[in-house]
Amino acid sequence: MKRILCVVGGVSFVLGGAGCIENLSIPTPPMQSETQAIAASYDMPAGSLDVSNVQGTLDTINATIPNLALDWLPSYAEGLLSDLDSRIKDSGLPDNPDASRETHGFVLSAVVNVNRVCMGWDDPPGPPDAVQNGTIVLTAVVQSGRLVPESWGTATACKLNLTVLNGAITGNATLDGTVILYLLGPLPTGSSDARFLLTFNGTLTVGNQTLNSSIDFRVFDGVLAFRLPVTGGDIVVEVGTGSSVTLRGSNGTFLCDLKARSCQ
Amino acid sequence: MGHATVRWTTLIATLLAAGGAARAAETADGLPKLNYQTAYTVGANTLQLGLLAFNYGLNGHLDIGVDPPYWLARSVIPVLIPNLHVKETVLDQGPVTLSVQVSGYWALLQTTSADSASLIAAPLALFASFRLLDRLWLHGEGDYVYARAFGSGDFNKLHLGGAVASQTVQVGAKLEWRLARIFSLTATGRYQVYTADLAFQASSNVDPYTTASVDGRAMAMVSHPWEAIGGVAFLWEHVHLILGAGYGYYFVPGVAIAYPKRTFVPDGNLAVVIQL
Repeated sequence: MKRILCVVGGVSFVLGGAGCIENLSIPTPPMQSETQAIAASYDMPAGSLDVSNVQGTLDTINATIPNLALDWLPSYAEGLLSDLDSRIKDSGLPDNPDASRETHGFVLSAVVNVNRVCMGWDDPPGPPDAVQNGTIVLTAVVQSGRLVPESWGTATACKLNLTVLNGAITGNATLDGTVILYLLGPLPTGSSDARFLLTFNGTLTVGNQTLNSSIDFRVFDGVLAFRLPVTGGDIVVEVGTGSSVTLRGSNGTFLCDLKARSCQ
Repeated sequence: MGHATVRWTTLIATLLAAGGAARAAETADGLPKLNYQTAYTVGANTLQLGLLAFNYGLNGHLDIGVDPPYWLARSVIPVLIPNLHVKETVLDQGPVTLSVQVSGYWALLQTTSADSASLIAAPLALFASFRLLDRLWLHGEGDYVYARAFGSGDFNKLHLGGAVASQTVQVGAKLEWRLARIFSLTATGRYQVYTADLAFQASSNVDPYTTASVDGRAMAMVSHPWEAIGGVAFLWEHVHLILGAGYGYYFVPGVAIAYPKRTFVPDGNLAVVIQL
């Protein structure tokens, strides 16, 4: 019937052009089950902290943190999600994966794309130049009135001046790879209400140093956490103020100090 | 009685008095034809001024007209809706009459001083009227409605750097039982057999470095709205009065777009018929 209507619509609708309405092609988020498993491991870490070797674990954490770009990458990801939130709200689409929405008697499905030209290494940044400075393209999906929690995208030779991003740090960074942002709550409007998991697979370079090619961390109400592999699985490291961290494992929760190299 | 009322009364009386001896469309045996949602046209050189539509019969089988409510909408909401419809009888053979009606509605929505959006609706209707018995008619109707909105600005929260489009197919039937020369009982039903998803696209600049786009579909909660109406029709020589009441999903007259909530459905039209 649809094919017939396309023809009828095309003939009858002289003023408006073709009468055919194409089906919406909804892309499938990549690595859905893997991402969900990672999110679950933050809630219930399978690894246990070796209480007999706490200092060794804390030394590993001290060595790991600089490789995660935690001083700027979380806030950059929050900015991407805020851009998505802005576009989605302007279109009357739901911005919360936990609730479906009906709009004026309709159930909405949509594909939302955010294309950000990276600002480059200049300070102040020059005009948008995708060829010179790279891009990040992010996709989100609303299906049957519900925001799919996983947004994903590709960073292509994305150059960033870290001082422009965060005045407290210096250096130039380059992102090149696949980014997945898994929402653990509504799309954030800022840092305070951000709840998401980020995974990155590719090349992350800061200065002359190439950091981990595969990283993930979680932001939940201002608390930053990452996984640390240990025997039997991962434990979760929640970054606190100063040098304090909270370690969560299957055998309990431990409040530790990285400088003092001790836990309570 | 105010001056305006006097003027209108005088105008209508004058127009009625100016009517010639010839009547609006009638059957061969002299019964006035019901042309509201049927295959019948208003008749040659006949002007029908109705609350829902103004129609003029260019000849015995071709009408041209407009829907004044959509023009009048401008007085209460910031929207101008020019519209036009043409109805032509393509077959008039014995008890069977077939007509095609092509309509066009163009809504100009001024959302802000800088932004505006447009909605075009193009209903295409096929009417078939069968005189089953001397006093009994069955009027059938099939409608295809294509609607498309486009422009810039914020239209129903869908920021339109793109377009919104939808299409529907409806069928309807009206049973008319002529109890007296000018009086009929009517039973009307309408059913939307096909509802396409509403398609919309939009794009915007979040900041100088960031563009965002949306490609979406809105699926109607009610994909097959319907209505059932019982009514009466008075077909006086110079006045046609249609009244009805029913239940279901209200289909907006003309554009035939269904209101998405099941409710009481009113039906009616009052038209003055003038033979020029």
